[in-house]
Amino acid sequence: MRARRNRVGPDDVLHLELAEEPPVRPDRLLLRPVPEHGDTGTGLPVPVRLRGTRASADLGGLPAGLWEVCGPDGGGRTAPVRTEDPGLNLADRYGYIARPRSRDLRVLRTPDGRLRVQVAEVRPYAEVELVRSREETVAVRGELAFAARPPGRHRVRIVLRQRHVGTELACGALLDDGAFSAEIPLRPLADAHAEERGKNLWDPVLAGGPLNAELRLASRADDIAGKKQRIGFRPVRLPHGGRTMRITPYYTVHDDLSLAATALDRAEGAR
Amino acid sequence: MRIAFLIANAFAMGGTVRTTVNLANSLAERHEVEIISMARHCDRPFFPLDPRVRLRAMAPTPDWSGAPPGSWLDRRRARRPVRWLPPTEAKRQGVFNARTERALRRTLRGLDADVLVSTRPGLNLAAARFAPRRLLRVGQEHIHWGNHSDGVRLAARLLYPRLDALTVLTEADRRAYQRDLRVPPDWAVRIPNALPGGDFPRAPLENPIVVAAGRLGPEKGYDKLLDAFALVAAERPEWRLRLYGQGGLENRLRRRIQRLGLDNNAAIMKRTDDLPGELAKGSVLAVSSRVEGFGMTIIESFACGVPVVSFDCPHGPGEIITHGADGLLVPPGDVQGLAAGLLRLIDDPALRTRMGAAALAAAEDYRPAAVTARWEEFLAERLSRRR
Repeated sequence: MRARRNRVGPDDVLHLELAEEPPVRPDRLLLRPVPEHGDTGTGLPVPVRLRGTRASADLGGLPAGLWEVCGPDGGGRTAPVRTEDPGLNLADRYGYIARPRSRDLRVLRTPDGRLRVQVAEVRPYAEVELVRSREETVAVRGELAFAARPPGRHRVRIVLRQRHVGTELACGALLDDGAFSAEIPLRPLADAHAEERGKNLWDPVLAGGPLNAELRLASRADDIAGKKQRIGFRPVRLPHGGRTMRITPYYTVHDDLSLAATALDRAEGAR
Repeated sequence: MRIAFLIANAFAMGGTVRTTVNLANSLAERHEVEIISMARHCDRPFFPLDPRVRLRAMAPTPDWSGAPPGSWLDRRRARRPVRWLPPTEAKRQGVFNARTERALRRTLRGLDADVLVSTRPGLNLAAARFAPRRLLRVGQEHIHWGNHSDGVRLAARLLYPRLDALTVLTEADRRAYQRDLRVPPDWAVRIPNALPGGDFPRAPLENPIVVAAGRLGPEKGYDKLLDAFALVAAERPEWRLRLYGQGGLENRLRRRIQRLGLDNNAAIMKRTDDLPGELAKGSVLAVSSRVEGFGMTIIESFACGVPVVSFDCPHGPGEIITHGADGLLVPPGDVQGLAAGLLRLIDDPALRTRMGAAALAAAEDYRPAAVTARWEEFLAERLSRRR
């Protein structure tokens, strides 16, 4: 089987648009686990509905892991489904994260053209869409991901927790039909700077109001993993107590958003 | 035909190695093919070779710890530079030294082939000097004549005319080599690089992503691209630029991204093992190079159905892209023009789709089968002239 397009819908159904009607009409696809750490499995059969060149299979019960999608080839043998689709539709992804869910399904294409599905256990979080360093603040904007989106406008908070220290700071944020925005003031971070730690790291979460759990600010909806090495934000230089504090928003190795605060010595501050 | 390729190090990874291995594998369908590698630094070649292609190496690189032990004389020869080569070539000491030269001369004397294709300037010069005349000696150039060092140009003027033919990647190169060397009128021939084999993904052209790819060096003009993308992002803030590549300018480009306020719009994506896969996630390829040897990324983008907006720099883009059909060419260095070209495709999805389809059709000329056929036709014709 060869797919021209493939996507996972909000209901976790895999939709395939096939290049041609398969010569052997399959009644099921086989999802084979991609061998990792020597672990091989025989695969899970998943019922498939076929209408002309359109096929769909409900992957709601698929356990977490990386799965190769297989179907009948021209001779009726089970073989990996080939795909032309690069596997990323950003509009679909933002639609997908808009619903409460505990598992995230993504379609992938291997460099040699095989179709795979990645299933990951997830928790609700606050998907960051924009980070803007300003004079004395960092503006953030985004939307709730994998969480219920309370209708209407609500006052919520961004709580900044100092890593390894535990100090908490908070500022107001707005939640509007699931879209959040906040302007994080940086002076309180400078005031709370723990000198003994050198670089102070602050991890923001969205909380309060109608939210019944803290939601970590992060960027995971798209396909860019490892943003720490790929995306950087402008640091804010803040005069504070006769010296300069440099506060930089950054993505962690887990693609969470954090703030790093460093007190610069006189020479660095003057640069 | 019996065809031998002469390459610096067939075991390494790199653009010339990849295109040579692709061509050798493809020609092996119908011909006897051999690769002669001047150097070898590991057990197995990085790019997989068709089992029908014979591979032999002249000598291990002096720094390969796993190399079979050579004689004292071999080791001494490996330390002796080749004096007759221009310095820019001779400095590749793992490839050109007295040991590899000696082994090459002996190999060429006994080489059982009809054709010898050499793949870089130093090897072209070696083939011109040492390959017997019974072989059809074909040089390959991937670098524009004007971009060679003075030493290479001087040596090429003296020795290249001994070669029976030279293949180059662009028409501009063909004219330049033909003009500056004392050679017969149809001595230089344009044969472009081939796309890698296998299936390419097809871009749906729906994501608000502009892609650029190539080494993060000054020749790629990414400073201009970022300036242009700042103009794009001011009008279409939801669009993103993904830059694939590594290189010395990375930190400088990161600072430029921040200075231009593109923190949320531009990402330096590092290297990827699956460039076609990443190109196909985008909707437009941007090429901001000051100079291009050929434009491999452009044809890979075409093969994914992604239209291209490019500076019309010397020499590749203008020969690959048909302006207004499969992409847009803008004057070199024209930042406003590059931004306008990108915005034209960003704002017109129907134009993107139309140009993407034309790009796919244009990519057919670069499929391995098409390029291999050109090689076969060229070599057969040159061999028939000698009979």
